[in-house]
Amino acid sequence: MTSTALLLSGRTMKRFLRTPPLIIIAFVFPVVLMFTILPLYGGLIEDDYIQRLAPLIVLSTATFGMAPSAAGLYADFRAGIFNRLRTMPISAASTVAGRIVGEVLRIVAVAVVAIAVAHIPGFRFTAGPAGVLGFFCVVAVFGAMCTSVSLLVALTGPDEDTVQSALGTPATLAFFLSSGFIPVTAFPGWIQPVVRVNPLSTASEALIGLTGGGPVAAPLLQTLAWAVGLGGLCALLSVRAYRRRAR
Amino acid sequence: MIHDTGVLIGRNLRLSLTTRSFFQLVVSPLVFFAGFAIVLDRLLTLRGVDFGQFLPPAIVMMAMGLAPVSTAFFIGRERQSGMLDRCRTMPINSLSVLIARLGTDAVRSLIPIVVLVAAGHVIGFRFAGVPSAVGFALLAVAFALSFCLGAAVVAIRSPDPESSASALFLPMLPLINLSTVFAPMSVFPDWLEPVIRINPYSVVVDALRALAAGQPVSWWPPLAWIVGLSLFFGLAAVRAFRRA
Amino acid sequence: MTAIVELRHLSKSFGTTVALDGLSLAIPEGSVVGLLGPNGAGKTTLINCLTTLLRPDSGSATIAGHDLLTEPDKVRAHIAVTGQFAAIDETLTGRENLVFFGRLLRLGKDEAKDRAGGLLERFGLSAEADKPVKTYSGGMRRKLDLAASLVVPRPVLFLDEPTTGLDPVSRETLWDTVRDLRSTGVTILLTTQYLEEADQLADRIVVIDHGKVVAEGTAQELKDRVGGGAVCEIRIADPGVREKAMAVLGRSAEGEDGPIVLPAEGVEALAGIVKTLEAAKIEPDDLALRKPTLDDVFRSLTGRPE
Ligand SMILES: Nc1ncnc2c1ncn2[C@@H]1O[C@H](COP(=O)(O)OP(=O)(O)OP(=O)(O)O)[C@@H](O)[C@H]1O
Ligand SMILES: [Mg+2]
Repeated sequence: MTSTALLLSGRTMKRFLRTPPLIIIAFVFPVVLMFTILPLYGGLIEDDYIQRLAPLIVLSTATFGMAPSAAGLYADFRAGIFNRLRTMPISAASTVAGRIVGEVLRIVAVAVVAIAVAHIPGFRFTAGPAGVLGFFCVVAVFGAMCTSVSLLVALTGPDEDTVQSALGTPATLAFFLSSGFIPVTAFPGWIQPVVRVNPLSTASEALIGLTGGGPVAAPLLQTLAWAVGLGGLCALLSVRAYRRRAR
Repeated sequence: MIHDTGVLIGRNLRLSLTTRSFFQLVVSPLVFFAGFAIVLDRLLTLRGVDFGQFLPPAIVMMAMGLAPVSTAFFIGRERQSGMLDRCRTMPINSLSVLIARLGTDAVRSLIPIVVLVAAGHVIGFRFAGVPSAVGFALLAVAFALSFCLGAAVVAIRSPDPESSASALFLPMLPLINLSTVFAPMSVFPDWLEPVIRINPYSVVVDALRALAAGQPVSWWPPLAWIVGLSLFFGLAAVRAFRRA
Repeated sequence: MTAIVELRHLSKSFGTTVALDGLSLAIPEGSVVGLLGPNGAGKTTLINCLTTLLRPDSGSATIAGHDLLTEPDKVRAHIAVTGQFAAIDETLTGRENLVFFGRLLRLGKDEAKDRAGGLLERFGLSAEADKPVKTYSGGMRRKLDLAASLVVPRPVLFLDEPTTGLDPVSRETLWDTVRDLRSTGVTILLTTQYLEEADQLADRIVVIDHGKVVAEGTAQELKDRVGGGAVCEIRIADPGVREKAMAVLGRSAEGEDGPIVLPAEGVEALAGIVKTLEAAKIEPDDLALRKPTLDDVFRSLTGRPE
């Protein structure tokens, strides 16, 4: 199963690396987003806003990547690849795992680049090598969760357009209503509970903690709970949906 | 040619009646509106900004900024499905395809404006009068169309139109964030001020806010931008459509 | 010979469309079966059911002794498919596609590369092997798609319209490939629109229409059904006259146009036809006696020209 998953994820990576517009969007988008949000909200909020912003940018690669990754699956439906795989003795679980691993590799690669660039306006890791390692692990776990969600929605959704919208809109909402964007206390009181439980907030706080800017344990546990709960559930249901899906 | 264009606009609009369009033109502007309303309310009110008047024009600018993405998307689809080539083999002026696209985009752009003005009403957004409302809509649509022309050029020229459509919203990010769309000038560092002042998004959003409030509008900067961009992209688009 | 593919009363509907209507069929091991039928007859649906892509509504089937519904994984280990529409990765090169599928089917790296190279050569794709598939022509894609189902030999091969879109030389290559595979004991079920192809390749031909088997047998047996020795082919250009001729000759199966074909064994039968036409004062544009072809079978069985 692992070798199959790796083969499949290798293919996902190759496709990604051979589609220049995809690469540009993937790597340029976060950097542009970072540099344009920075002067605006940096001016509105606090001095070392980049410590808050960089983690959010990295995580939003995963959330905003959900719609394109669903589009990739639909491209496979259209190309018939999906059907060919289904006639081969390959387990549904390894196919799903292959998809997830492929997307996570992409997300982490983009995260490395974005974080490197974030050093220019002053982003720093101050919690040692363990913090750095933990940082990218959280990014990977969060990315796996997002990919599972998008996979499930794509496999069970009615058509590509609806699926893309159904993934893009919540991603945008989650982006706004997260404490990665502005601190929880800057939100109106009534919405603060929502902001606090938003997985993008918990993951952002975990990442901020791992760069040495706050508590680690609580947000990390909350993020893991999200990843195992939502991500795990979606992955399991995706395996089922994959077996059932007939096109 | 007027007839052809009319027929094509009719077809384009029918093709627009999709879930995707509904999300693009209604849901997503509302999501952005709500998102920014929640995020910016405290931060801007603290700085003495009249938030109710300030935010709706900002989100309208954002919706206008996204219009070119769908221009490119639809032209890309027409190209891939062979529809564009079919039009070219028929006795239709190839420019009517372009004009019909822009006409359709103009109609499409009006939808989020209406939706956002209605949503803005809830947080206290008001027009000074009917002329100011009409001027507001016209200026916003004209601004959107000048960028749609640029998107048409990209879509016609690019080898992979569907993915270039999504790349098109990249330039919008710096334009919209480094402008007075979401924050007053005083928020930005001084060295950025010249950039922000000259940014077409700044001059247009300032004009929109002035129009809504019934204050005197400085027409020259926004019109210069819109006419300049339209001429530049328009010439390129005409050439691209004739040749492609 | 035992049946390696066996289906019993297989049915599948899409909404109100009945695509397969209680279809039963047994395919002996090592044989090539040609599945013929007009557009929409249910050929692709049948292949999709047998390759585990679609779940039939009722009925059962076994492939290599494994039940399609309860042991799909075992079935998948015995089959290879080339569907009606290409199933390859556009962004990968031809070679990468074949290596990828080979590796997924548990070939080692070198083995997968060797197999890929061999197949690319066999299908005349060596020159383009390292270009991305999106630069391929329609026929090249088709060939690559076929090659992809041959990367790892399987005892049962399904080919859905394998030669559609191929040039004559490539078609010959494919035919040779099918014959080669057959000689190594592979069982092949292929659908086709070309009766000549079925005639050339298939040991047995199954004609289906509206999801049912309407005829089955060797090419010769089917031809005998139309008219053992000979058929009479009448061509009439004028549609009105043609219709009249069909009426007096008691034909209804033929479609809107094309020749009217009647069994005509012996001079007597032929004379009967001519007399009937004479009596109705019908002057055919052309009247000929010839050996029956599968086309005749097809027309008479399905009522549709093919
Ligand atoms: N996914 C589907 N949804 C609805 N109807 C379908 C679907 N697939 C096939 N059908 C219908 O089932 C019938 C059989 O279709 P099928 O594709 O099996 O025909 P076919 O014999 O392969 O035809 P062709 O020669 O055109 O390939 C047709 O009436 C078709 O419209
Ligand atoms: Mg078919």
